[in-house]
Amino acid sequence: MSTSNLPSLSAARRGSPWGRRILITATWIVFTLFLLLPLYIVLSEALKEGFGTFFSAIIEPDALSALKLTLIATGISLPLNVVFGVAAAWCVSKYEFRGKSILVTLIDLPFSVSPVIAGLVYVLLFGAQGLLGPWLQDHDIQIVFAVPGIVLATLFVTFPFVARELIPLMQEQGTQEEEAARLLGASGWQMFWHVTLPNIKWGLIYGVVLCNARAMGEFGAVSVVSGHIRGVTNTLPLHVEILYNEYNHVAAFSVASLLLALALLTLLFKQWSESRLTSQNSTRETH
Amino acid sequence: MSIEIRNISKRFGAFQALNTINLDIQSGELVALLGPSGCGKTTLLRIIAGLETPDNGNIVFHGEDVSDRDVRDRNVGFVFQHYALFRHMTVFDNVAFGLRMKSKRERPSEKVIAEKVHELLNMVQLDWLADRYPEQLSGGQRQRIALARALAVEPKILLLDEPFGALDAKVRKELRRWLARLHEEINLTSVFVTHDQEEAMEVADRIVVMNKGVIQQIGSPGEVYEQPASDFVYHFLGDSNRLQVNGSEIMFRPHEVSISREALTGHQPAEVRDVRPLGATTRVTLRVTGQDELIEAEVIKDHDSLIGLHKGDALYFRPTIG
Repeated sequence: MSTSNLPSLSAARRGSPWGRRILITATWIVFTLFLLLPLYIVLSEALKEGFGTFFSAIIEPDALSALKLTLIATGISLPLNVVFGVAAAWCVSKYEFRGKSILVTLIDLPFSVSPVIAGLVYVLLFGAQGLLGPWLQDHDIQIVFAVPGIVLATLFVTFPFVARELIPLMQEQGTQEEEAARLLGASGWQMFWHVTLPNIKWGLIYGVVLCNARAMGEFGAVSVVSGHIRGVTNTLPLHVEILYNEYNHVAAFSVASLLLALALLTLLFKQWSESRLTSQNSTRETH
Repeated sequence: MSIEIRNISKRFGAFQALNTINLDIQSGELVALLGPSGCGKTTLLRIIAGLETPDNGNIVFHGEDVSDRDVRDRNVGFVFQHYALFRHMTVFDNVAFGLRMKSKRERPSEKVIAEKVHELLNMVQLDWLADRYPEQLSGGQRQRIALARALAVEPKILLLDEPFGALDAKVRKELRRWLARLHEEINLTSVFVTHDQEEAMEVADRIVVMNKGVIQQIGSPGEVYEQPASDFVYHFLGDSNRLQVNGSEIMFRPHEVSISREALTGHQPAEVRDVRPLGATTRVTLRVTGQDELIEAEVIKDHDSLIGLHKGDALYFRPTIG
């Protein structure tokens, strides 16, 4: 009785073969229409006039400067967000304090606020007419319409990724291994380096990858604070937009495919770290 | 090294976890903190280790007040209920951790560390597992590794928080006998927390019975069992029967009873509800007219009255105390 129950139960979960086929087909259609087709168009448009035009659009000075700025903004915001993210996750998961739930909500704020508003806040704060504008001008510090503004905007929109990834992981792992390390004479730094970090390693890498993808692709917030000065404050996404608005489609799609390549690289890295993370979790759960 | 606990109190919000605890633990003693869950025993252990800060009071190790000393400077070995082994390190690296964390001046060479680790792994009889990871070990093996790791830094005091709580019954029994033997060999001042009275009775030199943040009684296993200071201690340390006699109530343990098939003087009649052989003894559950609560009597399995005894038979019994 009980053995014949099992297959029929899972058959019930699978539903009728027709329903299954329709769902899978529908998924593939949506996937092709909204993901594969645009990718194909980007690449085919970029290569419409051959590889020569494609490469000249990419190695054009403005494009290279945009690539450089994108890498700088990502390169600065990534390590800072790793530090902020680990610190925030540590506070939330290892300590009990007043206002903890407010802090957790605030960490999510960049997810819920429109990036354009985030950019506007920085303009209102640091712009010429802004709150700190006169003071910054007196001291000859340029934030808005310059690299610092772009880094700040990128930092803001990518802040939650690392912390969000680590908080549940660290909460699940608890504090006992850290306590054991302290009892065995480890200093705070030794404990973090030898016990905490190896335990959160894969989750941290996964968070960094997500953070990286978003930092390179960020448009809204950066667009507001950048000022679109060609060759100076343009990031890759902004450069694509300018080229497109100038009806320079081939160049726009060429630079877009450069961004695409960076994204694919990130995605591969994400896939790898994710598989490491799940294998780590599954070996733990089997015991 | 002796431990003195002076007027320790601790609150968690509105919950009084510990209320003015005073306790002296002699050097080389093995003491059990026994009580139901939530009685404060684990909190007290964590305060001794320095993992928790008391609201009031002092902890004194060997005449020296360590209340303000950080966890890492107290030199205590601590064994957790759920082992807390470092999951990403091999058994060897787990045991070596404490030695490797020492400052450059005090740290022994890797060769000395390896010798020491193998010596400890041999002591817990698990040297062959040195290259495994914690997740590849059974619960009993993990706990022995955790003990080896705690002993590697040569602590002056060993604290164990429900060390056998997560293990199955057979392994638990083996391991606690092994721990008692080990304690005899290394003679380290040890405190362990348990909610299992049998475990405390079997292993400890002295038992501290706690309830609701207060010490109920301190004494040797014999003392707390034979001369319980309160009803709570009496009930917590073993099974007990309540019998109404002429309006008053007497309490006795299941083995403190005499049974007979014939009506003897002083014996009162009862109806047999169940007969359970438990090995060396047999438990007879009895129903007495005039009270709902059943009486349990445990007698040696060869007792004459048990021959051919069945459910529904009449039996006469008398508590042998009071």
